[in-house]
Amino acid sequence: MHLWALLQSTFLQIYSRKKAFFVTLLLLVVSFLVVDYALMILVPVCGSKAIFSQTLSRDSGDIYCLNMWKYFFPGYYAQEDIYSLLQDIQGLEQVEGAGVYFYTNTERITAEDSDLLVISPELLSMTKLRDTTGSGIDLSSQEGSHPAAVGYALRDRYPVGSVIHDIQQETDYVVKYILEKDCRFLGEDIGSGLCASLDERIVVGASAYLEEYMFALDYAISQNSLCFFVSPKADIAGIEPQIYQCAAAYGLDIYNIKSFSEKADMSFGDIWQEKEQFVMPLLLLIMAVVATIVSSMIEIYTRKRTIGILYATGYFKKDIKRMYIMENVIKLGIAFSVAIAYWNTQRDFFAQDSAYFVLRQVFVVSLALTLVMLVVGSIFPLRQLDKLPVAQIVMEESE
Amino acid sequence: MIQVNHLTKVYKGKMFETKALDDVSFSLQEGSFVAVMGDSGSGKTTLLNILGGMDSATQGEVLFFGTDTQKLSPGQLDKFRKENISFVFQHFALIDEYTVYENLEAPLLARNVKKKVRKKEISEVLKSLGLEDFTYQLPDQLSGGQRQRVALARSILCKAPIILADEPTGALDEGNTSRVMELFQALHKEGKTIILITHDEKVAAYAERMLLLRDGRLIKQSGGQE
Repeated sequence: MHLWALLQSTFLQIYSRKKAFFVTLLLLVVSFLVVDYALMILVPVCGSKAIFSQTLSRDSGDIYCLNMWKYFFPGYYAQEDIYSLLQDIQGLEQVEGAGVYFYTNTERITAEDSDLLVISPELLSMTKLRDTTGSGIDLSSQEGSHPAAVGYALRDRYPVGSVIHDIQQETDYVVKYILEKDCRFLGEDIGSGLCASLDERIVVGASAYLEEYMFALDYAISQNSLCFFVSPKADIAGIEPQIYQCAAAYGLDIYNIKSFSEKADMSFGDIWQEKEQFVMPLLLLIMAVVATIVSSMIEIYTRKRTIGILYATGYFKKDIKRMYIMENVIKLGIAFSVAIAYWNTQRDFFAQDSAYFVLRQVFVVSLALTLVMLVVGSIFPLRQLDKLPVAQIVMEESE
Repeated sequence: MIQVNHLTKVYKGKMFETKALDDVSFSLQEGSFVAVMGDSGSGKTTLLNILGGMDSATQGEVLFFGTDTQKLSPGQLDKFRKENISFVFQHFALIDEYTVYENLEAPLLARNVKKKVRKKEISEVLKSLGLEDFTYQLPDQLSGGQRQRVALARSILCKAPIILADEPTGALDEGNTSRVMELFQALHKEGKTIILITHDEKVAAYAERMLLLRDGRLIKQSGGQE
């Protein structure tokens, strides 16, 4: 049978028992919604675990990091406070360093995939951006003029003084700096994405973008800079209250990365105890898979007469099998899409800049789960269908 | 066209063996209308199932246009059946959840017929069988006679040259029986080969030839070429 005819036959089959189909679909949609929710929590934790693994493998003392998440919402971005806090902490004894590169060799949130990279001018001092003349870079807008720094490979195309027009934002940027060759935001030892060479990129200040500015770049740079080690020999009990006290003075949060990471190392038993938000959705998902398998198998049993009739009217057994697979594809496809679409509309659930990153990961994991469910959910019913004595059923129709 | 040679079918149980067909041989020309008669357990349905490729013989051969269907692989047999044979059952074998239209659409979908053509063909066959008012009704909303006509319509849409009918009037009253049999006659006139199982002599009288089975043996043939 042609694919199109098979698809129509499948829809005919679905339509003829729409209620049962709808109930199974509802179960799957709910499962995917909950599972995706759990994944959205789980993905950042697992991601953090991977991110921290290299740093944690160092023989160092405790590591503290400013909790940046809450500062990404408009009005909470307390840059000056953060600088002051870092200076205060650096002044503390036993603190080995602040502004260490923390996310070495890891993938991170990426900024918009365009030639134009936007950064808060205030953060430039924390980066390794240098221009060819060796002078400092200032991308603050002045008197309606928006300066830009262009990558080394673009120096002939956009010489100093030339104007770059951003069609999307209807903004003109005046090239003020040519970046050094192979210039990077955070140095060579940092992984891909944001930390790749800026030779073919254009960097502009965020001020012109205030309305739609995404903090992805700031986030990555800050996260790479706003962490500090405490000496392995440090008296944690003594130093930790001081650190927290410093942070509290500015109303900022600081957390201990090692203890955060240890949570990601929890045993299954611990997860069961403390992370029911992951376990329950997983159980729900397993239930959904089992329900899909069982309902398909029951359906094959209860609909064997229909299968026999289809066989007698010209469908091959393999056509009927394909129809069941297609039905599962449709069911799972709808459930998967509805869940992803729903969570896509709920991006405010996350810190805005991480939404795409997390959703992308959830999408991939969720898609993989869908495929696994499709395979697992089809194997048993198809095996049952294989064993079904279709000719016998047709013969029974004569008796 | 159809040549049945020394056909034997033995059902093996744990304790006993039952010979459903015993050395049955006959031949049919293309376009024949044959009634297979016999009491219950005489082997009529077994014969029909073997002819339709739903069951296999223990011994003997069934030649359709020189091809022995007993030697075909399951896949080849499915293909052969799809192209050459359509069935009409005593209890109609309509899918209860499908409307009349959908029941008739299924065999056309299985044959990759396009939507426009499907619609046209279904509409024509329903009209010719006086069923156009029942197009979107479910089978259980129809009388027995109407259901059997729908089953016949489906068989017509299969466009198979051979129609195997197993007691097609077994569940019908006299009025509907004669109407359905007239339809079979019309199909026969169109050139279809019809092999019809019945124990009703009145029904058998519509056929041009009769085969009588008893205890699995062909004991009598009458009419046509023997």
